[in-house]
Parts: sequence; structure tokens; C-alpha cells
Amino acid sequence: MNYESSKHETSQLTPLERRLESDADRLTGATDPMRVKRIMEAVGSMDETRNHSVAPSTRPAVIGRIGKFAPLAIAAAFALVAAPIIYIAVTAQRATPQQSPQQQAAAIRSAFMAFENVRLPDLPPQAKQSFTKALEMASPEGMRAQTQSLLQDGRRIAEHFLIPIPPQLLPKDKNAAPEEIEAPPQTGMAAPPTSASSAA
Amino acid sequence: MPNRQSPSTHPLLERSDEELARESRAGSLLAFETVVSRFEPRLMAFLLPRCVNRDDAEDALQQTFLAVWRCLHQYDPERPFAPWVFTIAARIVIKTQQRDRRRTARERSVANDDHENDSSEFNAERDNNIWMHAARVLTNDAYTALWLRYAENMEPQHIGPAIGKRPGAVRVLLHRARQRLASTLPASMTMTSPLQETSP
Repeated sequence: MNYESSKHETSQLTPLERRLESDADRLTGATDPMRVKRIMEAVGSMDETRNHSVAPSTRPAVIGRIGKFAPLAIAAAFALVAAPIIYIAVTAQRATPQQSPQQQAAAIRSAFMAFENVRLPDLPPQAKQSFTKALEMASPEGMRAQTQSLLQDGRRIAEHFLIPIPPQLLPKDKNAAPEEIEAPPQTGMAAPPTSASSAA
Repeated sequence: MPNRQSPSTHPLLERSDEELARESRAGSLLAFETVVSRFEPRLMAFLLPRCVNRDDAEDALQQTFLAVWRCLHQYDPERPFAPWVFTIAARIVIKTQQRDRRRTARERSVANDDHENDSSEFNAERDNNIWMHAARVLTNDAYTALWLRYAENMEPQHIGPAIGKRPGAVRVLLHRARQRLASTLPASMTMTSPLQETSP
């Protein structure tokens, strides 16, 4: 497809193109000095307006400065007031559905504290270390996965040592409820012979 | 304005458009006056077919030069100056047309009366000019591209950046504009020789 028709080779121009050229020439007159003068006056007055606009204004200087720094002031106010509010709101909104792991962790922690007070002195050293580590990790800041594994570990350890599982550690799932584990005999700890090594 | 030499006697007249634009950007009103003198008839011819009457065209012309003066800092001297100026003019025409659409019916009738009051010689010239018809039937981009090609003798690679199109797209645009023009040309405006628009 010949989209291009050479302008410079007049012989190749179609009548339409020649008409376009000639009519453009007819439309283009000579320079009008009066019009040029009017335009230059308008340019000059625009320049003066521009120069005046940067000259000191009649407004008090303080207002002028405030006006100049208004965007900065708005940004600072946003950073100081709005941003913390938004951050807290967003954090609170995000934290709400994650309350249960934290509560869970707190429950585990209190359960382990109870174990420590009652049973820890009787446990072998490796089991004590395990419990201590579990206590550290079972802080409210612990992650959900760690909390879940601690929960399982706590139950496993409690089952192994035949320690009565405190209600906080009982799983909510009815199918996995460990009610069948019986309380240890009142006569003392009936730990299996290999309990110390296996608990660790 | 300070002591200014008459542009007609100034060596600025021999400078290229781009050199004049560069000096105008540096703040030389004399260079800008030379730009205005050089572009005024060409821009007026470009604007006339697009405006309701001569007054509107003169308004658009003045707005164009004010916009050029205001935006000279955005001009890239590595590129041709004329397409940049004509693009500004074309955009101002579009704005004017949008404003005209919002005009009340009364204002429109006044504008039409103004058109009627233009000299009969001017109206006859206008109505018989193919660019008048082009302004009616072509899109803004097509009209601008056609004008830059046939009135300003520009190549598609220079027209492209001015109207935001690639040179290939400009060629297609020009071809379609010529086709549209040829197919819609009224009988009174038909050339003496039958239209032999190059087949694409």
C-alpha cells in the first residue's frame, strides 16, 4: 500500500494534494504587524503579572510562609495524628481474629507454670530443660505454629508422665478429647523406667 | 520592554526556528517577537478553518503564542520547533471547541452572526477552500497531520511526535485523511481534473 506520496516530487502529487498545497498557500497571508504587536503586548503583560506574583504580597509574612509550607504541614499533621490512629486501627483489626492463639499461648504458659510448681522438681533434668524451653516459647508473642506444637508437646509430655492434663490444655475437638487418660496413682510417680530419656 | 531593535532589521531573522526558540527560552523577548512574526500567518491559516469566525481565530492565535511563551521551558531544542507550536495551537482549538459546546444558544447565535458579518470576500475565500472542508470532515489529529504535511511540508517522522503517533501511523492517518477528503468533497469544490487519489 502506498501510504506515502512524496511531497518533494511535485510531479507525483495527486490533484488533491496539489489542491491542499495551493489552498494552504492562499489561506496563509502576510504577517500582520498590528497583530504581532498585540500578541507581544499580551506576552509582556503576562510577564509583568508573573513578576508581580512573585513580588512581596500585602499579606502578612507569617501567613505567606504558612501558605508556602502548607503541604508540608499537612503531611506532618498526618504523620503525627492520623498515621498512628490508622496504624492502631489496622493492627487491632488484624489482631482480633488472631486473639485465640495468643490466649492459647497464655493458657499453655499458665498450665506449664502449674506443672513447674508441682512436678518440675520431680522430673529428670532433660525434661526440666524441655519444660523451661517450652515456657519460654509459649509466650503470648509466640507464633501460631509454635503454639500448636507446644500444645501437642505439652499433651504428649503430660500423657507420658501420667500428669493430669489441666483443662486449658485439653483440645477443643471432641473427637480428640483425652478424657481416657487416668490420673496418676496417689501413691507417687509411677513413671516408666525409660521415662527420663524418652521425655527429652 | 527595554530598547528593542526592530525585528525586520535584526539578524535574528536569519536564525532557525529552533535557535530562536532557544533564545526565547533564555528570556529574549526580541527572539520571541521574531518567532511570533514568523509563525503568525502560518498559525492563523491553520486556525481559521477550525474556528467559527475570524475573531475566534485571532483569540486562539493569541492564546497559542501565550501558551508557547509560558511553556517554552518544556520545549526540547533537539526537536523541530514548528510541530510543537502547531500542536499547541491544535490543542487550544480543541479546548475552544469544548468551550463552544458549553455555550448557550444565544451566544452561539451571536457567534454565527459574527461569522455572517465577516467580509464577504473572506467568507467566499473560506467556503471555497479545501481546508475549510477538511476542518469539517476530519478529526483533529487528521487535520493537524494533513496541515503539517501539505502546508508546512513536514515529514511523517516530524509530524509523529507532535501528534503522539509513530511515523507509520502518521502515514496511515494521512492516507485515510486524503481518502476521506476525496470521498466527501462537494461537487462545487471538485478539482478540474478528476480526483486520482493514489490507491493505497
